[in-house]
Amino acid sequence: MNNIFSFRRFGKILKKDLCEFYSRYGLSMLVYISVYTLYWLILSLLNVATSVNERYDFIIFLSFICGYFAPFKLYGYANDAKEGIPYAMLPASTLEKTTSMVLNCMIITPVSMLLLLFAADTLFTIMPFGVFSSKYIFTTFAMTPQNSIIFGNLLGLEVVISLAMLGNVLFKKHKVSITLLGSIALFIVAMRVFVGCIIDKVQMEEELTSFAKTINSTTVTISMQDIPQSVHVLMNYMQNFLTVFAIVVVVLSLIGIYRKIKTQKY
Amino acid sequence: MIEINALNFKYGKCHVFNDISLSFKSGQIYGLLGQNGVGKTTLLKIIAGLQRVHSGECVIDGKFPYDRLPSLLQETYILPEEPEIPAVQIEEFAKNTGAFYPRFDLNKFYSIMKEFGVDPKSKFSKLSLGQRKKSMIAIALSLNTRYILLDEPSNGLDIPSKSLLCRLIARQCSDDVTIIISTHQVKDMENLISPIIILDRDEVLLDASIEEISDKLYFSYSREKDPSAFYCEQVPGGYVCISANEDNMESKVNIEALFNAVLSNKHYVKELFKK
Repeated sequence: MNNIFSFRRFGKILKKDLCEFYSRYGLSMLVYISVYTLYWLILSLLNVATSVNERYDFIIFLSFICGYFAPFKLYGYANDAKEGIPYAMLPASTLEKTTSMVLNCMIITPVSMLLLLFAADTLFTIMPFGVFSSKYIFTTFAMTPQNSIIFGNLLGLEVVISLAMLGNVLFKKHKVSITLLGSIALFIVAMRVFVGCIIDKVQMEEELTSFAKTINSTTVTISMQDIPQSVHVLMNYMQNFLTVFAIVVVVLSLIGIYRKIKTQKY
Repeated sequence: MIEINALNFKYGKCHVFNDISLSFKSGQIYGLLGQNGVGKTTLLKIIAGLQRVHSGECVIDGKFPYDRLPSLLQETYILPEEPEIPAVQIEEFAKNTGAFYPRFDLNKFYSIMKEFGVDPKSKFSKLSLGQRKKSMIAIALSLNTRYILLDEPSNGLDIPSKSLLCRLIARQCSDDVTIIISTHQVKDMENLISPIIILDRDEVLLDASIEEISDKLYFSYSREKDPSAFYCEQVPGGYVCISANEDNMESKVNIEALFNAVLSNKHYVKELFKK
């Protein structure tokens, strides 16, 4: 018998996890949809105009919240001294259990949430009344592609979920809050490292100082041409750094989750 | 076969097992007895692979349970004292869990649930402790694993269910099945368990079959204390006394009295049963 990975066993554990998905997290997902509905309703009732970008940002924000809480709701029992025993004793390998957990939390949950939220948004846009009327997110994004923003958002979402998954298996009490504080601390440390390592290498002191003065002056309108080259360089560095940082965090988190599931004591 | 060799285990600085060795053979229903906190549940957890030994080893069919290999997990099932499962239907949970076990028998599950009088379509969270226990016993037995570890299985069960449990466990026992029952309710399991293992802090006080016990100890019931007995316990109508069985007389083992006798005469009993 293959004790490391078998597609048959993996199929069974994935099926089991999916069967429990809606009883564990279905209601919460419904709440997120309701929040978006409420957002649309309030804006429509007050007749507050909103841009497609704002709607997109709100959908991403809700997806982040949904993604963050998913591991705690779906697999909160995994390291529980009582509830975790049936999970630990389930005849599947650690790799199969981890893969199913990753698939459920990092792919199935955010994809379903995003699809549901975009579907709700489309529905509100179709409606002849309301402030979303005829302003489709998809068509707007198709006209002005923002691939790097979407990529950045999705990567950020995966980072948040992977950290939540790690926190879920690492901590037994107050896991939601400790994970949140830990993640914020990690982000601050990462930014400090970025500032310490990268920013010194970019020769932009004078340019940045004058640009900062320009920004501070509220009377001046800034165009793309006004942004100095060094700021573009800095943004590029920042983007690359964040991408690498995100990939490293996700990979390390997945290794940590596997290790913790394998060595968890009950 | 489960083999435990020179096992050491501690929680932080608190020693639970100090160099203990035991073996559990197939076809037997072991009774694991001991006072609170001596490590009965911990021993079951070590055998199930839920705890890692500090030193020494626990080996099942040549495999280490803490490795949690699917091939061993599908032959082992542990029923905790207070089982917890997701808030789903018992039937659904049984089916989803049973899919992983090669000899799972869904009809057996339904039949045991019927005998216990619990509706398989009920949600686990809606059941009482006793009903949860019954449901989990039904799942544990219908999985047909070779190693069944039961932690206080009769706790929370009503009187008819306790007898039914004994019948079900006796029915489950076969040549290739090892059942280990940790219990305080020795009366419930009296006619079921053999061998008996009595654990004490750090050590094993007794590991013997009912046959060996009745060969070496004589249990007498009288109005007066037997002066030759090394242990006497007052029971309604007189005393139950335990003495060394020097004349090879036959007697019925009273496990509760045996347990108390072993605890109050540790060295004597250990010497008597030294193999």
